Amino acid sequence: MIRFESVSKVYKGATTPALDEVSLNIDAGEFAFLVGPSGSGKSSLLRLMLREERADEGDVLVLGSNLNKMPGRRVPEFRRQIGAVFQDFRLLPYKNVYANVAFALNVLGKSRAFIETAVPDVLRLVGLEDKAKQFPRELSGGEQQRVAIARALANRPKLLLADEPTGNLDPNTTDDIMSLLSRINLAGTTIVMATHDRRIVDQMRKRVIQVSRGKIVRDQFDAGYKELPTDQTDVIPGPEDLL
Amino acid sequence: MKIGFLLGEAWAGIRSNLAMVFAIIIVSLVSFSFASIAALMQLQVSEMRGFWFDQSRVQVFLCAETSAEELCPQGAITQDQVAAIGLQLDSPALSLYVESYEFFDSEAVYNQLLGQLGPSEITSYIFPQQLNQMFSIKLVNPADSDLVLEALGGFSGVEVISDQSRYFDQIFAFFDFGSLLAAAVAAVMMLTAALLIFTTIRLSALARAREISIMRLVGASATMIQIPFLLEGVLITSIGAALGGVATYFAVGYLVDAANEANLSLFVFIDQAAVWPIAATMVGLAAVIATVASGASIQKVLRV
Repeated sequence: MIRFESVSKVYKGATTPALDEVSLNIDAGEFAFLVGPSGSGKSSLLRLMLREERADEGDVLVLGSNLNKMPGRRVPEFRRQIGAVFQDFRLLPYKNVYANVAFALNVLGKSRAFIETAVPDVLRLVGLEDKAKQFPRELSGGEQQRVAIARALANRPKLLLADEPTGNLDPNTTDDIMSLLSRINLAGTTIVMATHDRRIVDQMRKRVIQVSRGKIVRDQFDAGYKELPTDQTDVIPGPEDLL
Repeated sequence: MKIGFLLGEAWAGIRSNLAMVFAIIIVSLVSFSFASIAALMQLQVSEMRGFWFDQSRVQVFLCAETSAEELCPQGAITQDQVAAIGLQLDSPALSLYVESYEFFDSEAVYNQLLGQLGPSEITSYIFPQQLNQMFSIKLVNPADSDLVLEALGGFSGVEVISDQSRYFDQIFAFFDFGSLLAAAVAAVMMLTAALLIFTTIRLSALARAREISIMRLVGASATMIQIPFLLEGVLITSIGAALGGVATYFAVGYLVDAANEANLSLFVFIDQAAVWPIAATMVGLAAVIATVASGASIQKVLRV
């Protein structure tokens, strides 16, 4: 589903690379956490997966496409197969819940009949079927993130990318969102989620890809936020692990 | 693509930017009114030129007994000299340019004058033999009058050649200048309108940066993102141009009425109906300018 082959990325004006020869493979149906401190390269990985940036070196393959070779005009079509959620929800404040979710389908030119079926379905999935007419300002943070997830899922993507989706939420709401994401993953959607939240990573026991200074320093299945390596062959020790 | 959804997004942009929208409407109203006025003046000049040129003649006045000696040193023209001029007008070289001509002897000129002046005290002092005989020539193209001047100017017995079309030169020059001035003002105003549209659409795009980032995120194509902004620019500029058309319609109506009341109807060759095709063209032009200005304005935003 996602493959990085010796991918490097240096932003303009930066002296050190954001990503330094990163190789990575995520299969269909997986749930993977990207963990690491701010500026370690988690968001850069997500941006490359969404083709918001291009790698300077190496190949990024997502859903069978080589993103470095993809012409700009093909990018919209590619993004339609991916859902994305962010820490700041990115909802349109003057549109109600229904319209926010429908917006994603409208810009794709979906028919009214399709939208009238798909939006209530996805709102039911995230547990907001009775809040369709409310505006984002009338919702709690957790509910707003549910709307964002509903919008990301409206077009039934195969891959969901989440950049700190629980960063603005309290622990109880965070648990709700994580259980929602788990259900979505169980239904077959691949999820890659960048997070700082040690607690949820430890609770979920999923695959953990730890990034530090642009390199993957740990890639472990059924793992916690900062676990000591159990099998040295799977693990590349990074500077943080040595501290 | 869903027109309703796109129009809705364009309307959202218009609503969020009302002050600038009004500025664009007013600027395009004024600029396209000026452009319409320039076009109408050109129309008026060309109709007027056609009409007056059709009426105008080159008059070749022949020497009479009363002619001044320095103009006619040999005295009155002879029958042979008249015949020679007629032959020259019929010659293959000149007949190409001459549509028709008439010869008026002194008696005919006298009768014509009587017809124009009516019985009055002045006419009792005028006698046929005081008046010049003349050739009145209608040219295929009145602008070729110099050819007649060259061809007949050297003939003995010709006192003076007068080209009536020259009388209109100043009037036409006045209208041409007016139309040029209106066109220049229109050009400056249109440039202003284009820059205003450019700025407004850029502001509108900035105000909707979040929406655009979401559109890009969910995979909207560049065209899909661009269309609401183009619609916004085209709609407001076209409204301005259409209002300009209506304003011009009433202004022309007022001016035509005023000219008719002042007995200047001989100088008026356009009516209110002439405004509509020009106004329609201006709305089309407004749409083109708005498309280009809006398109250029959001090119940067559209980079995916």
